[in-house]
Amino acid sequence: MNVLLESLNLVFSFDPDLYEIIWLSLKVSLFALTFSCFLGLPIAGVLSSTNFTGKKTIIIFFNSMMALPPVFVGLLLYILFSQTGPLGFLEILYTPSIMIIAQIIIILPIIISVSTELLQQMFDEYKEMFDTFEVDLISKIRTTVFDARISLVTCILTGLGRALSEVGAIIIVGGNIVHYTRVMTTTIALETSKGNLSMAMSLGIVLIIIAIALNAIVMVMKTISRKNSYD
Amino acid sequence: MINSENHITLKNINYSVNNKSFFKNLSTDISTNGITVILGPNGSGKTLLTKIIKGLIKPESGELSIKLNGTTPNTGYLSQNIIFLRRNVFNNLAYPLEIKGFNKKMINKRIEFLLKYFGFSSKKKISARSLSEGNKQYLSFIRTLVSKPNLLILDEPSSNLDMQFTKKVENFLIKERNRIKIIMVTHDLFQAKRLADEILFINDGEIIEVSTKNKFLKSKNKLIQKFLKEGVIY
Repeated sequence: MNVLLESLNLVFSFDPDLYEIIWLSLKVSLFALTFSCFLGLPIAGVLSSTNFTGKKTIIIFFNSMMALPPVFVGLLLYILFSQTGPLGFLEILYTPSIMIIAQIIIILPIIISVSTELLQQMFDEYKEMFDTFEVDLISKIRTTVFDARISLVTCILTGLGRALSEVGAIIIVGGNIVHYTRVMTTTIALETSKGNLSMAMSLGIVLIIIAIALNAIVMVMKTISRKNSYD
Repeated sequence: MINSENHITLKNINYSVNNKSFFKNLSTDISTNGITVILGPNGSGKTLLTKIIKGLIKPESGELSIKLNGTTPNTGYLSQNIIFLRRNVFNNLAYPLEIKGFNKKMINKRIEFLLKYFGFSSKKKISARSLSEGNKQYLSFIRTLVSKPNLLILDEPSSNLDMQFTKKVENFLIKERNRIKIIMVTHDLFQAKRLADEILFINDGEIIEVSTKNKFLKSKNKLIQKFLKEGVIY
């Protein structure tokens, strides 16, 4: 009980160290999410609206990548970006930049796979209409992405949730350096091992609040969508 | 190759359904004026024929050539399978023009005119997908007209419509028959009698007769006589 009260006190006393960690977590995850969306949604659009040799292989690849263990991603990036690695000259190991790269590798397949599935369903439904109006490929993609926007937000927020809760990869490549690469999940792991449960719990509470907020946003957007009955 | 300013010609069209040859060397010329009604029993190939004419389905072999006033026509197609975007009535009507790059002012003018003409203005902000089946079909009909087509292909345009909407659609078709070439499928013989200038009768993938309405009604073909006697397509 004491731990819970102390952790609530930490959260609501706006402890600067705590909020620095929260801010870095959000910054890294939102950067990774934005990049993944810019790259992933057009890929999903093309995959869902075209037929070409190797399409199924690409879909299988991205589906398989969704199950990629984050620690393995961390290990691969560590090998690539360590001083003796082929990309070591970039000197980004133990920086927020490599943490963003790690999260992109983890959430990009989720964005691509889930949105491809979603857009494919809508594209199949719209296909005859597209053919009737002789719609070009770019317009087809724009139309399906626009009409699926509410469902895509759910998919994007799933990606954000995955990024925020990730610990395995970023602890390897980020190094959990205080005031520099320390994020919520790595701090929870560290503080728990140190026995500082109130700090770990306070970050856990923040993570739960973020999860509830994300779900609330999705719910509100779906309610607005249903109210307009466009679905 | 067919040489003429105006023609709707299908030549030696072959098409298989479920690996079975359905259209075998199907050839016909359809009048380029007025309303051509396609009649035939269920599964005779009426919808398939309209999809081939529209170009939605490519035949395995054969030639399809359509020229109206020496050019490829601007075709409006109404399918039985009505699909709307997850948008309101206005935006669904605007879509065919938006993708062709028309400016907003022109789109608004055209849509407002059509909504007013067909008495559908009160529904312009409603989600198209939430309309009744009849209203969906009516809206779908209006949508085929937004790009001012000079060839209209309609697959059972009034099968779900009430009397009032059916009358509006028929009046429009009668009014525009000299400006727009209309090819329509119907199951309603009385509607065919009211509208048709030409009737194409198809059975089991084979065109039995293409003739003027008066000639068709006096046809000696047994299948057609049976159909005319029963009043509706069996």
